[in-house]
Formats: sequence, structure tokens, C-alpha cells
Amino acid sequence: MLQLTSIHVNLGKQSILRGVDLQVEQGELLGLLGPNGAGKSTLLRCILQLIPIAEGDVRLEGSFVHTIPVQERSRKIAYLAQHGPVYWPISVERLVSLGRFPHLSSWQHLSSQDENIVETTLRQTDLWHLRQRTVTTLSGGERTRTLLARALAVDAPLLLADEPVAALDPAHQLQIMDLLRQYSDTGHSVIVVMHDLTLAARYCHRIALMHEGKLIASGTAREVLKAEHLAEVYKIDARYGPDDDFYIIPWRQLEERTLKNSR
Amino acid sequence: MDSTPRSRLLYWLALIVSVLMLVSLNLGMGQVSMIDLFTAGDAAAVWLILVEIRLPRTMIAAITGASLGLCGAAMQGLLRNPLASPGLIGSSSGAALGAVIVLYLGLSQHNWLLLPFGGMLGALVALILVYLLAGRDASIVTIVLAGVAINALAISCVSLILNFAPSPYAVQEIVLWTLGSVSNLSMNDLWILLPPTLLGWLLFIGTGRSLDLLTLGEDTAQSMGIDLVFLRTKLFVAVALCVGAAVSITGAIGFIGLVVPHLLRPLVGYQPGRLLIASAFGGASMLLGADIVVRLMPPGPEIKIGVLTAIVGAPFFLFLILKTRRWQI
Amino acid sequence: MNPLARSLFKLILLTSLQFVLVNSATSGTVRIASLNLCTDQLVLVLADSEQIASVTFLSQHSTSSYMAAEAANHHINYGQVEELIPIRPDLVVTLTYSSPATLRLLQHLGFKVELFIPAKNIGEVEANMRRMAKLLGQETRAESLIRSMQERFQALTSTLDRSRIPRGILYEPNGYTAGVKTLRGDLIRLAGWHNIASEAGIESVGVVGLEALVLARPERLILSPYAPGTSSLGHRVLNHPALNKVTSHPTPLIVPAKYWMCGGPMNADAVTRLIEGR
Repeated sequence: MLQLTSIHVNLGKQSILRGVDLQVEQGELLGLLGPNGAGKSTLLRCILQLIPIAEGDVRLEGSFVHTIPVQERSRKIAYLAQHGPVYWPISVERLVSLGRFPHLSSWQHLSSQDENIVETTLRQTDLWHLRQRTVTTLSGGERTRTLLARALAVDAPLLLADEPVAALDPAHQLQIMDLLRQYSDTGHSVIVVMHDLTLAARYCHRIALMHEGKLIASGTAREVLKAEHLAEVYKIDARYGPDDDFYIIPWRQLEERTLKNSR
Repeated sequence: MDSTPRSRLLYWLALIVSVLMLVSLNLGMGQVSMIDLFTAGDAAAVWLILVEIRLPRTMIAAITGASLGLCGAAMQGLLRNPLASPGLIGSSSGAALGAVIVLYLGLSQHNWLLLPFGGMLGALVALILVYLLAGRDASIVTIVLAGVAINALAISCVSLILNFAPSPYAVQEIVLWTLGSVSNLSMNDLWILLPPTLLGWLLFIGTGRSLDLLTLGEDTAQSMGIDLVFLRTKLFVAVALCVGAAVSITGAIGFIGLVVPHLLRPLVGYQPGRLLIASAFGGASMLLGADIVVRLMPPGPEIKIGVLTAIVGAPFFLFLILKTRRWQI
Repeated sequence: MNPLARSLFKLILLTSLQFVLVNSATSGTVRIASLNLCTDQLVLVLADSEQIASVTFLSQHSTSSYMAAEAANHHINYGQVEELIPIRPDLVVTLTYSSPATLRLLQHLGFKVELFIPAKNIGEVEANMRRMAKLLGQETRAESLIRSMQERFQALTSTLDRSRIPRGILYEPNGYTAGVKTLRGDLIRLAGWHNIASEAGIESVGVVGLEALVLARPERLILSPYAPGTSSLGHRVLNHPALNKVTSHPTPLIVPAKYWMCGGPMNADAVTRLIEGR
């Protein structure tokens, strides 16, 4: 459904992505992991054509992304930006209905079908009772849910979510991951950038691990999040739970790093 | 579902504008009103006053106010910054500079369109300078600082040019350009104002939805099909056309583009798109109202209309700064 | 375009003239320096050429100075104190509304200064001429000039058709006008016009609004362009379409500024124009 071939991206003289190959299947929830600065957000941004790609192709449903007309592309890829700024205190309902705009021409108003989708999304994300509230008055969890609901309302075959569970408490993290999983279960593809190894292992169909602009590994959690990879990429030593219930606790930084830091 | 109360808002604003225009037509030093057309002995003089003096004044006040309100709302939406407005980010004084160059060098005697063109060019240059100085995702403070710098530069250039202008009256007219005035305008001025203004208004059509999407930031808006470069160019040109034309006729009337969108924003549910038309009506009301107050003042040399808008607007600006300070700094 | 007209404006209306005098050391004729366009006119019309030490640069501008030709070969000043020091005039003349600082400086330096009050009517013009003549020792010339001026006025006004008094008003950029207590108002009255500035309650100088002007229904506007060919917002009001439509006469009457901006024999030319335009 989405196919990235040998993606190179440069910012100034710095090379950010150095040959990334990645595939996402329909209905797949892909966790994109890696340390800060590994190039995860950049990868999402180049799928969205927000930054120029130096080399390589992005293909969506068989056609090159840059050849798809902007309006059509905006219906096919939904994007939940990191931090997700909201500049004006608009209502939750209004914000979520912005997600339907890619489906409208500049003169059309929301159709009753659009309004139905907005309502369904609001109910699914447990925001229906908050729909008249302004975004600025929401708690962190409610706010993230609202921004996610906006992205879900686009009803795009591909959703790119950049760190949606950062800075949330465990309950809200689970809630967001549940919503993403539900979305992929209805035949949509999702790429979610995240840092919580256990959460990624528990929810994602597949995990891709990035390091310094390259894809180190992709596959099931067990294949990707193994000790050697974590040591190489994060320079950590992790503890694993019993085999049938895969969880990972980052235990301590590896020797060389600790020494360096203590100096 | 919620469109009814909001379109009702537009009806109310339109009603206010119409009432103010009627009042404006019937008010003046000459103590003449429409009734005198039928009762006064000198109906011809009354007609002249109404049609040749008060009608252009009223129309120009309404159009200029609408342009300033609209441009303020659009700039605030585009830059996602409640302090962006033609007066604060330098486009008004840039326009004044452009118009002053054209007028006092006598260029507009050859072709009247050069006057609004000069204003438009000045506004555009000022806008682009502020934008480049402040940068794309500039904070409120950076934009205001860049605006202050460009404003100061443009206004001192206006003074400089007026000082060297051949006309003996030029120096006295600095006040007119920096504060603005709608008195003594004629139908000729209205015809100069109208074409570029209408063109500017046309460019605003269809930008409301893009401004709504910009509520979520530039990346998200782009992911939803907004061509930012195109939108920015279109809005800059539209603002330059409207502000350039308005300022070249009335001088730089301040604070309308700042205050009006702010007052109306809660009434349109903070939606930048809906704010556009509402601010146009609101701006027209504010300038018409200010002009009416100017004419209600005791006789004597007329107070410049910009003095009134500043007396209302400057404290409001301070209030805004205090309000934003709570979460900005 | 006249690049110096702006300064002219400052000099006349904003009244900041400055000058300095050095003690007279020579005997014989009085050498005089003038620091204002209006005292320039009196000096140029009354003094012998060798009596003129300096006049202002404005006196050489033909749009503002009636005596431009006579001023051509004289030393000129730009109103600065230091300009007069090398030429050592015996006497400095200017108008009363020179800046107090300048006058204090002149006194401090011990110069002999004579201040003239701007004439508000023809009688005061004659008084100023006599006073200037006395300072210059040119009383005979002054009396003959005054006599011929009076004769011209007599000739002009005796043939005047007084059965018809046209309604007129002097209209200047920004709507300024002159009432009966000004020289120009006096000349308008002499020429047999009804000056409607009085209906607006203006006796000296003031602003008439457009609406008041339309309601007063002038038959003809009297314009006196100061710096012809320049543009300003102030000029805009002169081109207001309502003004053309309210006056019965198709064109305004133009009286060159140099005929009546200052008092002097040329005022008769202003009256001639005003009578022709009735």
C-alpha cells in the first residue's frame, strides 16, 4: 500500500535519511521507533511531501506520491503532527470537522454524511460529551484525543501519527493506542512514531527501528526489539518479561555511555 | 447546526453598517440632512452636499474600514498571531510611504492609478520585509518588533520626503499621513479607491477554509491540501491592494485591523474563516462610527479620525499585550 | 518645480526669520539688510541700489516676489544670522513675528533692528512704506509712489459697477481663507466683492469647511496659487467637484500670489485682477 524505496533526504549539508526502504501493508499498524534524531519525523514528512526528497521514491497504492494531485493526496494520507499546535480556541466539534475539509471543494459545506462521520468519530474517541468545549480548556489526554479524532475523521487509507502518546499518562496512552489499533483493524494503514518499547510491542503489527537515518530492522517486536538492536541503537541494556507476554524495561545505560557521562 | 446564530451575526453587522451610513449622510458642519432636500429653499446646494461631499466621505469610510478589518483578520489568521494587523506589521506605513512618493513628486498628476499603485507597492514591500525579518513561525513578540522597526523606518522616510517635497504644504501634511483622515474627499477619490480595493476583496474569496486549517499549524494544513506558498502570496497581494488603496486616499488609519477581529472572534467561534466577512462589516462600522464622532465634536479644526481610532485602539493594544503575556512569557 | 517654495512657506507662514547685523562703521548712505520677503519688497521698491546690503533668496523668485527682477543682482540671504556678518549692514529690517530667539541674538550682538507689522489694509501698507522710506532717507520717492498708487485705486474703483456685488471667497489649500481684517480681504472689498468669509464668521484667517462653502453659494472662487504645479493633499480640496458645481462662474479667478502676499504698490495689480474677474 505504501512503498518507500531508498529514500535519501538532506537538510543543508547534513544528510538526515540515508537510504530507507520500507513497506506498509493495508490494515497494518506499524510502529516507527528509534532514538531522538534518528529521522523518524523526517520520514513522515517526506511521505507527506513536506520536505524535498534527494533520492528515492514514495509510492502510495502503486503511484508516485508526488504525482498525486494535492487535494487527492490530502484525502489519502492523514497526518497527526508532533505536539499538534492549536492556535485558536475553537470548539472540539469544529476542530474534528476540519478533518472533513479535504473532501470538500472550496464552496461546499459539510454534507450530512460528513457530519455523520464527525459524530461517529467523536463518539468513538469518547469526545461526544466534550464537543462544545474549546480546545484550550481540555486536559492533555482529551486534547490529544481531539487532535487524533481530527486525523481519523479524514478517513484516509494511511494515517501518519507522530508521537501521539508522548507526555500522556498510562491510561491515556492505552486509550490512544487502542484507537489507532481499531483504525487499522478497519482496513486503514497506520504509521505511528513512538518511544515506549512495550507499548509498541503490544499494539503494533510490525515494528521498524531507525538509527542515524537508516532502517536497522523491521519485523515483529521479537525480531526487532532484541537486546543487540537496543544496545546498538539506544545504547541500553533492557530486561525482558516472560516469553508469552512480551514486555521490555529499559534497565540501564551501557558501560561506555555511563563512563562518558560521569566524567 | 450552529450556522444560524452566526449568519444572524452578519445580518446584525450589516444592519449596523447601514444605519451608520445613513447617520453619516445626514450629519455635518452644514447642518443639512436628507429632509432638507424637500423642505429647504436651496435644494441644489443640499443635493451637492449630500452627493458630492457626504456620499464619497461615507462610502470611503465604509470601504476603508472594511478593508482594514478584513486585512487584519486575514493577517492574524495567516500568521496565527493576534497582534498581526496592517498598522502593527508595517503595511499601513509602507503604503503611506509609497503614496507619499507618488503624490508629492507629482506623478499622480499624469495618471491617477499611480497613487494606489504606489500605496500597494509600499504595503507589499513592508509586508515582505516584516515577514523576512520575523521569519515564518515567528512568535508574537518577534513580529511586533519587526513591525515596529519597519513602521519607524517607513514613517521617517515619509517625513523625509515631505520635507523635500516641492509643495509648501507638504510638511504640514505628515499628520494626515500618519493618523489618517476622511474629510474633504470627493467622488474622484472614491473612483481611485474602488478598483484596487475590489480586486483585493476578490482575492480573499475562498481563503477562509485555508485559514481555518491553519489553526492546526502549517504542516497539518499542508497535509490537508493547502498550498501555503500560494496562499501566502495571494493574501499578501490582497492585503497590499486593499491597504495600499485605502491608505493612499485616507492616510494610515490605525488600530482598526487590530481591534475589530479581536472583538468579533468570540462571536464567530474563533474560526478564522468566518472572521473575515464579520471583520469587514465590523471595520466598516468602526470607521463610520469614528467619523461620526469626529463630526459631532465642537466646531473648529477637524480632529483627525486616526486620533479617535488610536484613542480607542491603543489601550486595547496594551490590554492585548497584558493578556498574551500571561501565556507567552 | 520650485524646490525652494517649501522654505518660502516656512518663512511667510511659520514666521521664522533670522538675521544678524554688524555695527555700522561707514558714513554716508544707510546700507540695509532685509530678512523677510515682505520687507524685501519695500526695500526693493524704495531704496537706491547701493543702499541694499542683502535681501532674502525668495525675493528673486518670480512666483512669490513682485520685485524679482530688481532683486536679481543683490546679495541674497537664507535667513541665517551668519550670512549677514561679512556684509556689515547698518540696519536690519524684518517682520514682527520673527522668532524671539533670533531677535534676542540680534540685540545681544548690538545690531540695529527695525521690525515691521504686517499690513492688514491699504492704510497700513502706506504707513509701512512711509516708515521704511524714513529709515532709508527716501521720503520723496515714497510720497510719489503712494500718490500714484492712490490714483490707480481711484481710477479703478470710480468706474466700478456697484449695482452688482459678486459673492466671492479666497480659497486656499486645506480650505484656508482671508477675512476683512487681512490685506487680501481689504483688497477684495476694495474691488467691490462681497467676501463670504464674513458669513462663515472669519475676520482674519481661518478655515471654511466644504459644506459651509457650498451652502454659502459663492459665485466665483478666488485662488492664489502659491507654488503652482506642486501636489499635496491640501491642493486636493481645491479640485473637489462640488466646488465647480456650486459656483456659477465656470472657472475660478486666479490672482498671482506676488500681487498681494505683501503690502506695496503691486497691490493695485491685485485689485485690477479682482475687478476684471467680477
